[in-house]
Amino acid sequence: MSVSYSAVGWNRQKKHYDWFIFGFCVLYLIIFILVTAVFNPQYTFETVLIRSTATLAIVLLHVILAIGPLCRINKKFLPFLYNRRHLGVTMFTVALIHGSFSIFQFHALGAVNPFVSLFTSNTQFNSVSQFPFQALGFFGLVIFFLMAITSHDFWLHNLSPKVWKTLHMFVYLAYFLIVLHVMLGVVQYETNPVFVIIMFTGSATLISLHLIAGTREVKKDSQAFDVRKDGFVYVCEVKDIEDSRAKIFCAGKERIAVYKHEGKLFAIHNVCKHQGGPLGEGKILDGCITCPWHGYQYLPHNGQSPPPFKERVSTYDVRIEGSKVWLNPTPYAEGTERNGAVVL
Amino acid sequence: MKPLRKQHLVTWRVLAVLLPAGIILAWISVPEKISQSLLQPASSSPLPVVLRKAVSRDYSIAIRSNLDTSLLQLEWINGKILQYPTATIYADDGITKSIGELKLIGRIEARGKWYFPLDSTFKYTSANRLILYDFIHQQVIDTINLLP
Repeated sequence: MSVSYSAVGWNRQKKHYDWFIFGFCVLYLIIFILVTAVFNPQYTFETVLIRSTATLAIVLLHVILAIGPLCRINKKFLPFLYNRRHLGVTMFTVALIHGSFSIFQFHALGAVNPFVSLFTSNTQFNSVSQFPFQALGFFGLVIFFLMAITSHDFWLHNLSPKVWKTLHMFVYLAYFLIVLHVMLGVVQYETNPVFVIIMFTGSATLISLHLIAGTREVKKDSQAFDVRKDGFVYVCEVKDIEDSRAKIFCAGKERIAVYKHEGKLFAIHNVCKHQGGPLGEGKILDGCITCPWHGYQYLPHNGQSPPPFKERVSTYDVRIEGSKVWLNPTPYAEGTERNGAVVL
Repeated sequence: MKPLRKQHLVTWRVLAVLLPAGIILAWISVPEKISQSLLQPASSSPLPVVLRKAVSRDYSIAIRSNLDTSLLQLEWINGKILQYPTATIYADDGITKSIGELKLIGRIEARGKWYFPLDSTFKYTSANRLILYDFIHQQVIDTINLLP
């Protein structure tokens, strides 16, 4: 969170994250170039650059796509999510180097415009093994470009988190295009199966992670609750909720986080106003519910961000009867103050 | 957010079908070729016997074997730097018309020496002609006739 505008709200974690990404990319490229120099010294520098950036971009893309479901499965992965957008922009930059050098090396040295050559030099769309795979990579790169330029919070606020997230789901289409770009490209001309194994393992891992995490989440959303006449539903026992932590329930249309804080229970809307992060998976820091994704904060009793910030989420009534926690899933207007339920 | 979560799951269910299907389809469509080990050294030593050869201004090519001809090898030495950053070599059997149906021997770069293992069929079939192919622009770069 930032009071005044700055292009990137740098902090210690972001700097560490970015230095780690930078160090990994440089190390990967150096190792790739050295190994190539030893085993295939005849390769030109342009060729090595095209291949090293291609493989690095694919590794980064798999890591990026694995972070989301891994965080749903295990909270220990949350630090990777914190600055995932920088990882995405890094991946796009690496992919752009690969694309630019490829277009230059394969299409820019003739009389035809390189982009015209890219789309007209091979038009065998009816063949699998001869398919114009470069076009697939080009369209994947265009999607990554659109994602990279809209990755800033400026676009998040202007488009709304819902539209922004929907737009960024095009990364899955881009991933599909990139897998086919590799499979219909280099795999068709290489004489060892290593690329097939890598792509199949990568895809299988991502599919498994997303299906496991997605099924769990949808199952949580479809949990059934019996509504009492007064509109309250039984959700759990008081002891089930740890101090300064929450439990999440999907008793109505959306998820609700029930937090225990200073001997009281408070219920707020689970979705962070920033990027839709799960507030109930965070914890209370300095008296504020803190989103686990990017650290946006809300006061437990009214769902408002502490001044001067203006983000607000809905609040709910929560009640304790004996040892049982009851929740009314009808939301109050965003930022409405509630007293909370005293834990005896 | 609830519909978005469902949308994510539906998208990955679709991808769980499309990705493996795409990978398998692409894999089974790979032209017939001889398998090699990863990171095959470019300077692997040539076999001693030259069975056939072709020499031009741009490259020197030979089919080599060991003494009992149980092992076969294609030697490709670029004399000049190729005008094409990368190209594939196919064995032309003189019958097949389409490049995609020819036997893929390997891929070469613009410069350097290249050695590719050949299977035993090269001893018996009329593998006297090689095709150098630019797979980016889908055009034949050169046709090379190998002479004893």
